[in-house]
Amino acid sequence: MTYLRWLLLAISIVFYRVWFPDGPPPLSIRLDYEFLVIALVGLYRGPTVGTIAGWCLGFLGSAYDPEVLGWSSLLGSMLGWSVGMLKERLFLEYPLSRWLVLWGVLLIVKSAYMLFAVGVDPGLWLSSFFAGGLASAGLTATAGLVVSLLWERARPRVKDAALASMREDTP
Amino acid sequence: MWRRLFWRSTGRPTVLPWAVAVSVLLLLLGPGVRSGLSEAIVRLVYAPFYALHYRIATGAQVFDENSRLRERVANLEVEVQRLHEDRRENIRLRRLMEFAPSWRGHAIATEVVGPLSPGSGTIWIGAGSTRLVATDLPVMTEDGLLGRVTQVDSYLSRVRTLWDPLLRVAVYDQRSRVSGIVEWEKGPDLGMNYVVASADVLVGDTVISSGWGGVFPKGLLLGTIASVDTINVGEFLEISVEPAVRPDKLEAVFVIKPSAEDFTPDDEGKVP
Repeated sequence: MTYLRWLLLAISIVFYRVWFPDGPPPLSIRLDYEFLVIALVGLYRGPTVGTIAGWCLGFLGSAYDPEVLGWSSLLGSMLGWSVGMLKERLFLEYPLSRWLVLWGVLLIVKSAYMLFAVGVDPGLWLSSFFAGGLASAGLTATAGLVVSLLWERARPRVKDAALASMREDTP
Repeated sequence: MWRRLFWRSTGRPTVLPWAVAVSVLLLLLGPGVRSGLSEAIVRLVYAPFYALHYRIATGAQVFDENSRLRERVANLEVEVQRLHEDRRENIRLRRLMEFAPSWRGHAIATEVVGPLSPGSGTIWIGAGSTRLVATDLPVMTEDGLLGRVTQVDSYLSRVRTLWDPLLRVAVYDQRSRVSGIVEWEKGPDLGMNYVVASADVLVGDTVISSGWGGVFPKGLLLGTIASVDTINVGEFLEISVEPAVRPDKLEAVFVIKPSAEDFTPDDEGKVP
């Protein structure tokens, strides 16, 4: 991925944050764009790049809010790393399996994010989880699946490049 | 153990522990430091995008407002035109209110629907037999006599005006009581014919109908004497009459239904 693409990704996240700001606590169903981007980077670039991208994009995405500064970086790096690791260890060529993995990881990360956003209030966290977390993770996972399928269809060699990158990252 | 967590055996760093460690470090920073860091990033990275967002959002509002204002301006233009028209009508009605009737009958108010055109001395008005308009009835404006009805349909009537050579009106000079016949030959003015050379007629005298023809009641204003030819005097004077009615300003007219008294020579042609 060229520097220009990284720059565009960063700009797109800032743009999304400016255009669609979310107010705490996140009760509504929304597309978590920065999580989507981090998951896709992890999916195609492996756990190492996914971790770095997750940390940077998470940091950038939450920089406007000092309360969650650091927390989003942590969750972003975990997300990028876990998607990359699962991609290496599981067969994710079927859309359903890919969607399930994305949804599961996004749900965990989203839940952790919401727990922090509601001030570790279990009651509010549970209501946020059922009111918005489940569906938001599903929406983001679906968007990720669609984008990844379109990406692979548009550029068939992207799979090979992703696999080669993963082999380099593997210890 | 810590070394193995952060560094691989090959010497390359393991990324995830570093990322977690830096994140935890950020979380452990004091609120003041985190706020300062956040503010710096917002100023550096977010500020241009917020400015752009603001400009686009306000630009969209300006566009919407502009559309609304354009629509409002168009409506106001129509309203202004309507008010101008009302104002003109108001002036005309005021003049009508000040207009003293010179006959004892009653008038049917209507409008010109077929204006006077070059080569034609007739007009069409928007009142017909349904409004009891009949042939030979005189037609006036608030300025003076215009002509007479020559053809009547249900909702329209044809009026022969002063600028039709077939129309003749028996008139008086209101000051000197000298009588004559007004008829049109050419040009904007009318001619007052059959006035003997020795008659007392002066420029500026008012010319009114005499009622002698049996069509036009007595006392209707026709115009004023514009010129009297005293050089080429033959048996009759050549007198030019400037009509009171302007042919290019025909809008509202009145069909007059005079009573029998309007034709009686009771007071030497004075206006009743």
